[in-house]
Amino acid sequence: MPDEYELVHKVLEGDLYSFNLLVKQYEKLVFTVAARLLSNKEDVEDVCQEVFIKVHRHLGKFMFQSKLSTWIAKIAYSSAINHLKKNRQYDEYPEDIDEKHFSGETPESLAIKKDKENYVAGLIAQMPVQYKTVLTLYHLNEFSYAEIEEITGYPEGTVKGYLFRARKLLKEMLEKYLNTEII
Amino acid sequence: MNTMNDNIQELLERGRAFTAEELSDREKEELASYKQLFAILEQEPAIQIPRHFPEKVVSKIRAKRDAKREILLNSLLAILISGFLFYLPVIITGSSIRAVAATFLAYKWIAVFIALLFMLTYFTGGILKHRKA
Repeated sequence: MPDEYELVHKVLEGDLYSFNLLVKQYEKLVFTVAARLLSNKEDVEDVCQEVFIKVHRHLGKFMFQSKLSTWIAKIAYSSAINHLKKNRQYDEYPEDIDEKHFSGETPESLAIKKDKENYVAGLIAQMPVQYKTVLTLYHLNEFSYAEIEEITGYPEGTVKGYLFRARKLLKEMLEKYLNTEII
Repeated sequence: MNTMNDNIQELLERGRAFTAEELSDREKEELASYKQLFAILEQEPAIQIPRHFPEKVVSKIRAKRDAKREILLNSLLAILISGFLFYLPVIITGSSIRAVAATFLAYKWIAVFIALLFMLTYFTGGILKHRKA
Protein backbone atom coordinates (compact mmCIF):
# COMPACT_ATOMS: atom_id res chain seq x y z
CA MET A 1 0.00 0.00 0.00
CA PRO A 2 1.59 3.33 -1.04
CA ASP A 3 1.77 6.08 1.57
CA GLU A 4 -0.67 9.00 1.64
CA TYR A 5 1.69 11.46 -0.05
CA GLU A 6 2.65 9.09 -2.86
CA LEU A 7 -0.97 8.06 -3.41
CA VAL A 8 -2.20 11.67 -3.68
CA HIS A 9 0.56 12.56 -6.13
CA LYS A 10 -0.18 9.58 -8.32
CA VAL A 11 -3.89 10.50 -8.39
CA LEU A 12 -2.99 14.09 -9.28
CA GLU A 13 -0.94 12.77 -12.19
CA GLY A 14 -4.15 11.19 -13.50
CA ASP A 15 -3.58 7.63 -12.30
CA LEU A 16 -7.09 6.21 -11.80
CA TYR A 17 -5.74 2.92 -10.45
CA SER A 18 -4.27 4.87 -7.51
CA PHE A 19 -7.59 6.61 -7.03
CA ASN A 20 -9.25 3.18 -6.90
CA LEU A 21 -6.84 2.31 -4.06
CA LEU A 22 -7.64 5.58 -2.31
CA VAL A 23 -11.39 4.85 -2.48
CA LYS A 24 -10.80 1.35 -1.11
CA GLN A 25 -8.77 2.80 1.75
CA TYR A 26 -11.35 5.39 2.81
CA GLU A 27 -14.70 3.89 1.76
CA LYS A 28 -15.38 2.55 5.26
CA LEU A 29 -14.83 5.97 6.82
CA VAL A 30 -17.13 7.69 4.32
CA PHE A 31 -19.85 5.04 4.56
CA THR A 32 -19.74 5.13 8.38
CA VAL A 33 -20.29 8.91 8.45
CA ALA A 34 -22.96 8.91 5.72
CA ALA A 35 -24.85 5.89 7.08
CA ARG A 36 -24.99 7.44 10.56
CA LEU A 37 -26.28 10.79 9.35
CA LEU A 38 -28.70 9.78 6.62
CA SER A 39 -31.89 8.06 7.59
CA ASN A 40 -32.66 6.92 4.06
CA LYS A 41 -30.27 4.06 3.35
CA GLU A 42 -30.78 4.37 -0.41
CA ASP A 43 -29.24 7.85 -0.32
CA VAL A 44 -26.09 6.61 1.38
CA GLU A 45 -24.45 5.12 -1.73
CA ASP A 46 -25.29 8.19 -3.86
CA VAL A 47 -23.83 10.55 -1.27
CA CYS A 48 -20.71 8.38 -0.88
CA GLN A 49 -20.17 8.39 -4.65
CA GLU A 50 -20.60 12.17 -4.66
CA VAL A 51 -18.03 12.43 -1.84
CA PHE A 52 -15.35 10.54 -3.77
CA ILE A 53 -16.07 12.47 -6.98
CA LYS A 54 -15.53 15.69 -4.96
CA VAL A 55 -12.36 14.21 -3.45
CA HIS A 56 -11.03 13.51 -6.95
CA ARG A 57 -11.99 16.97 -8.24
CA HIS A 58 -10.52 18.92 -5.33
CA LEU A 59 -7.53 16.74 -4.38
CA GLY A 60 -5.18 19.36 -5.81
CA LYS A 61 -6.33 21.71 -3.02
CA PHE A 62 -5.28 19.25 -0.30
CA MET A 63 -2.12 20.72 1.21
CA PHE A 64 -1.20 17.95 3.71
CA GLN A 65 -1.89 20.32 6.60
CA SER A 66 -4.10 17.64 8.13
CA LYS A 67 -4.46 13.90 7.72
CA LEU A 68 -6.08 12.86 4.43
CA SER A 69 -8.73 11.01 6.46
CA THR A 70 -9.70 14.28 8.22
CA TRP A 71 -10.01 16.09 4.88
CA ILE A 72 -12.11 13.28 3.37
CA ALA A 73 -14.29 13.07 6.51
CA LYS A 74 -14.90 16.82 6.23
CA ILE A 75 -16.16 16.36 2.66
CA ALA A 76 -18.28 13.36 3.73
CA TYR A 77 -19.79 15.32 6.62
CA SER A 78 -20.61 18.42 4.56
CA SER A 79 -22.05 16.32 1.70
CA ALA A 80 -24.32 14.43 4.10
CA ILE A 81 -25.45 17.66 5.80
CA ASN A 82 -26.11 19.30 2.41
CA HIS A 83 -28.15 16.27 1.39
CA LEU A 84 -30.22 16.52 4.59
CA LYS A 85 -30.74 20.26 4.06
CA LYS A 86 -31.74 19.76 0.42
CA ASN A 87 -34.34 17.22 1.48
CA ARG A 88 -35.51 19.35 4.44
CA GLN A 89 -34.43 16.68 6.90
CA TYR A 90 -31.87 18.78 8.72
CA ASP A 91 -32.89 20.03 12.16
CA GLU A 92 -30.98 22.67 14.05
CA TYR A 93 -29.72 21.62 17.49
CA PRO A 94 -32.75 21.34 19.80
CA GLU A 95 -32.26 23.48 22.91
CA ASP A 96 -34.62 21.26 24.92
CA ILE A 97 -32.59 18.13 24.20
CA ASP A 98 -32.49 17.10 27.87
CA GLU A 99 -36.30 17.01 27.96
CA LYS A 100 -36.57 15.21 24.64
CA HIS A 101 -38.15 11.82 24.89
CA PHE A 102 -36.10 9.14 23.21
CA SER A 103 -38.37 6.29 22.52
CA GLY A 104 -37.02 2.88 23.23
CA GLU A 105 -40.31 1.22 22.53
CA THR A 106 -41.22 1.94 18.91
CA PRO A 107 -42.39 -1.09 16.90
CA GLU A 108 -39.12 -0.93 14.99
CA SER A 109 -36.98 -0.90 18.11
CA LEU A 110 -39.02 -3.67 19.68
CA ALA A 111 -38.27 -5.76 16.64
CA ILE A 112 -34.57 -5.08 16.89
CA LYS A 113 -34.40 -5.19 20.67
CA LYS A 114 -32.29 -8.29 20.49
CA ASP A 115 -29.31 -6.84 22.21
CA LYS A 116 -27.80 -3.77 23.77
CA GLU A 117 -25.88 -2.88 20.61
CA ASN A 118 -29.00 -2.66 18.50
CA TYR A 119 -30.81 -0.80 21.24
CA VAL A 120 -28.06 1.83 21.44
CA ALA A 121 -27.92 2.06 17.63
CA GLY A 122 -31.68 2.70 17.61
CA LEU A 123 -31.29 5.46 20.19
CA ILE A 124 -28.46 7.10 18.25
CA ALA A 125 -30.66 7.10 15.14
CA GLN A 126 -33.20 9.24 17.04
CA MET A 127 -30.62 11.73 18.27
CA PRO A 128 -29.95 15.16 16.74
CA VAL A 129 -27.51 15.15 13.85
CA GLN A 130 -24.91 16.98 15.97
CA TYR A 131 -24.83 14.13 18.50
CA LYS A 132 -24.76 11.43 15.81
CA THR A 133 -21.84 13.20 14.16
CA VAL A 134 -19.61 13.59 17.21
CA LEU A 135 -20.34 10.06 18.47
CA THR A 136 -19.44 8.58 15.09
CA LEU A 137 -16.33 10.65 14.52
CA TYR A 138 -15.00 10.17 18.06
CA HIS A 139 -15.81 6.54 18.78
CA LEU A 140 -15.87 4.88 15.36
CA ASN A 141 -13.40 6.91 13.39
CA GLU A 142 -11.22 7.77 16.37
CA PHE A 143 -10.80 11.44 15.53
CA SER A 144 -9.58 13.83 18.23
CA TYR A 145 -11.60 16.84 19.40
CA ALA A 146 -9.39 19.13 17.29
CA GLU A 147 -9.96 16.99 14.20
CA ILE A 148 -13.73 16.90 14.83
CA GLU A 149 -13.64 20.70 15.06
CA GLU A 150 -11.90 20.82 11.70
CA ILE A 151 -14.39 18.40 10.13
CA THR A 152 -17.62 19.89 11.47
CA GLY A 153 -16.72 23.49 12.17
CA TYR A 154 -18.12 23.24 15.72
CA PRO A 155 -15.74 24.74 18.31
CA GLU A 156 -13.84 22.14 20.37
CA GLY A 157 -15.82 23.00 23.53
CA THR A 158 -19.09 22.45 21.68
CA VAL A 159 -17.85 19.11 20.34
CA LYS A 160 -17.01 18.02 23.88
CA GLY A 161 -20.35 19.28 25.20
CA TYR A 162 -22.33 17.39 22.53
CA LEU A 163 -20.32 14.23 23.11
CA PHE A 164 -20.68 14.26 26.88
CA ARG A 165 -24.43 15.01 26.77
CA ALA A 166 -25.02 12.37 24.10
CA ARG A 167 -23.18 9.74 26.16
CA LYS A 168 -25.04 10.73 29.33
CA LEU A 169 -28.39 10.37 27.57
CA LEU A 170 -27.38 7.02 26.13
CA LYS A 171 -26.09 5.77 29.47
CA GLU A 172 -29.33 6.69 31.20
CA MET A 173 -31.45 5.02 28.53
CA LEU A 174 -29.22 1.96 28.54
CA GLU A 175 -29.50 1.65 32.32
CA LYS A 176 -33.30 1.84 32.07
CA TYR A 177 -33.31 -0.72 29.28
CA LEU A 178 -31.09 -3.16 31.15
CA ASN A 179 -33.16 -2.83 34.32
CA THR A 180 -36.34 -3.56 32.34
CA GLU A 181 -34.67 -6.54 30.73
CA ILE A 182 -33.69 -7.97 34.10
CA ILE A 183 -37.25 -7.54 35.44
CA MET B 1 -24.25 14.71 39.44
CA ASN B 2 -23.22 16.20 36.12
CA THR B 3 -19.71 16.73 37.39
CA MET B 4 -19.49 13.07 38.36
CA ASN B 5 -20.74 12.07 34.90
CA ASP B 6 -18.29 14.40 33.21
CA ASN B 7 -15.37 13.31 35.37
CA ILE B 8 -15.97 9.64 34.70
CA GLN B 9 -16.29 10.27 30.95
CA GLU B 10 -13.12 12.33 30.94
CA LEU B 11 -11.17 9.70 32.83
CA LEU B 12 -12.43 6.95 30.55
CA GLU B 13 -11.41 8.98 27.52
CA ARG B 14 -7.90 9.20 28.91
CA GLY B 15 -7.96 5.46 29.48
CA ARG B 16 -7.19 5.81 33.16
CA ALA B 17 -7.53 2.78 35.39
CA PHE B 18 -9.27 3.18 38.75
CA THR B 19 -8.53 1.59 42.05
CA ALA B 20 -11.53 0.45 44.08
CA GLU B 21 -10.67 2.79 46.96
CA GLU B 22 -10.86 6.01 45.02
CA LEU B 23 -14.51 5.58 43.99
CA SER B 24 -17.74 5.59 45.92
CA ASP B 25 -20.35 2.89 45.31
CA ARG B 26 -22.44 5.25 43.17
CA GLU B 27 -19.36 6.20 41.16
CA LYS B 28 -18.48 2.54 40.68
CA GLU B 29 -21.97 1.93 39.26
CA GLU B 30 -21.68 4.92 36.96
CA LEU B 31 -18.25 3.81 35.83
CA ALA B 32 -19.53 0.33 35.01
CA SER B 33 -22.41 1.81 32.97
CA TYR B 34 -20.10 4.14 31.07
CA LYS B 35 -17.56 1.39 30.43
CA GLN B 36 -20.32 -0.71 28.94
CA LEU B 37 -21.51 2.20 26.80
CA PHE B 38 -18.00 3.00 25.56
CA ALA B 39 -17.56 -0.64 24.54
CA ILE B 40 -20.84 -0.55 22.59
CA LEU B 41 -20.03 2.77 20.93
CA GLU B 42 -16.69 1.47 19.77
CA GLN B 43 -18.21 -1.55 18.07
CA GLU B 44 -18.32 -1.11 14.34
CA PRO B 45 -21.86 -1.10 12.95
CA ALA B 46 -22.65 -3.53 10.17
CA ILE B 47 -22.32 -1.26 7.16
CA GLN B 48 -22.84 -2.81 3.79
CA ILE B 49 -20.53 -1.29 1.25
CA PRO B 50 -21.84 -2.11 -2.24
CA ARG B 51 -19.74 -4.56 -4.21
CA HIS B 52 -17.20 -2.98 -6.56
CA PHE B 53 -17.87 0.47 -5.10
CA PRO B 54 -14.38 1.86 -5.95
CA GLU B 55 -14.73 0.58 -9.53
CA LYS B 56 -18.13 2.30 -9.86
CA VAL B 57 -16.67 5.61 -8.67
CA VAL B 58 -13.69 5.32 -10.99
CA SER B 59 -15.90 4.52 -13.98
CA LYS B 60 -18.04 7.62 -13.26
CA ILE B 61 -14.91 9.78 -13.09
CA ARG B 62 -13.59 8.21 -16.29
CA ALA B 63 -16.91 8.89 -18.07
CA LYS B 64 -16.84 12.55 -16.98
CA ARG B 65 -13.22 12.92 -18.06
CA ASP B 66 -13.99 11.34 -21.45
CA ALA B 67 -16.99 13.64 -21.95
CA LYS B 68 -14.82 16.70 -21.22
CA ARG B 69 -12.18 15.47 -23.65
CA GLU B 70 -14.82 14.85 -26.32
CA ILE B 71 -16.24 18.39 -25.98
CA LEU B 72 -12.74 19.87 -26.25
CA LEU B 73 -11.93 17.77 -29.31
CA ASN B 74 -15.21 18.59 -31.02
CA SER B 75 -14.77 22.30 -30.33
CA LEU B 76 -11.34 22.18 -31.93
CA LEU B 77 -12.79 20.31 -34.90
CA ALA B 78 -15.56 22.92 -35.26
CA ILE B 79 -12.98 25.74 -35.33
CA LEU B 80 -10.92 23.89 -37.97
CA ILE B 81 -13.98 23.22 -40.15
CA SER B 82 -15.09 26.87 -39.86
CA GLY B 83 -11.62 28.02 -40.94
CA PHE B 84 -11.63 25.57 -43.83
CA LEU B 85 -15.13 26.72 -44.95
CA PHE B 86 -13.92 30.32 -44.87
CA TYR B 87 -10.81 29.66 -46.97
CA LEU B 88 -12.53 27.31 -49.45
CA PRO B 89 -14.09 30.12 -51.56
CA VAL B 90 -10.75 31.96 -51.52
CA ILE B 91 -9.03 28.87 -52.98
CA ILE B 92 -11.80 27.97 -55.45
CA THR B 93 -12.76 31.40 -56.80
CA GLY B 94 -9.44 33.16 -56.27
CA SER B 95 -11.25 36.07 -54.57
CA SER B 96 -9.47 38.10 -51.92
CA ILE B 97 -9.94 37.28 -48.23
CA ARG B 98 -11.55 40.71 -47.75
CA ALA B 99 -14.17 40.00 -50.45
CA VAL B 100 -15.00 36.58 -48.99
CA ALA B 101 -15.21 38.11 -45.51
CA ALA B 102 -17.63 40.76 -46.80
CA THR B 103 -19.82 38.05 -48.36
CA PHE B 104 -19.75 36.06 -45.10
CA LEU B 105 -20.66 39.17 -43.11
CA ALA B 106 -23.61 39.80 -45.40
CA TYR B 107 -24.93 36.32 -44.63
CA LYS B 108 -23.70 36.18 -41.02
CA TRP B 109 -27.14 35.31 -39.57
CA ILE B 110 -27.34 32.21 -41.75
CA ALA B 111 -23.92 31.15 -40.43
CA VAL B 112 -25.04 31.84 -36.85
CA PHE B 113 -28.23 29.82 -37.46
CA ILE B 114 -26.26 26.85 -38.85
CA ALA B 115 -23.82 27.00 -35.93
CA LEU B 116 -26.68 27.06 -33.40
CA LEU B 117 -28.37 24.15 -35.18
CA PHE B 118 -25.14 22.13 -35.00
CA MET B 119 -24.69 22.96 -31.33
CA LEU B 120 -28.29 22.02 -30.55
CA THR B 121 -27.94 18.68 -32.35
CA TYR B 122 -24.61 18.04 -30.65
CA PHE B 123 -25.75 18.77 -27.11
CA THR B 124 -29.13 17.00 -27.43
CA GLY B 125 -27.27 13.98 -28.77
CA GLY B 126 -24.87 14.20 -25.85
CA ILE B 127 -27.66 14.45 -23.29
CA LEU B 128 -29.48 11.45 -24.80
CA LYS B 129 -26.26 9.43 -24.81
CA HIS B 130 -25.63 10.39 -21.17
CA ARG B 131 -29.19 9.41 -20.16
CA LYS B 132 -28.89 6.04 -21.94
CA ALA B 133 -25.61 5.39 -20.13
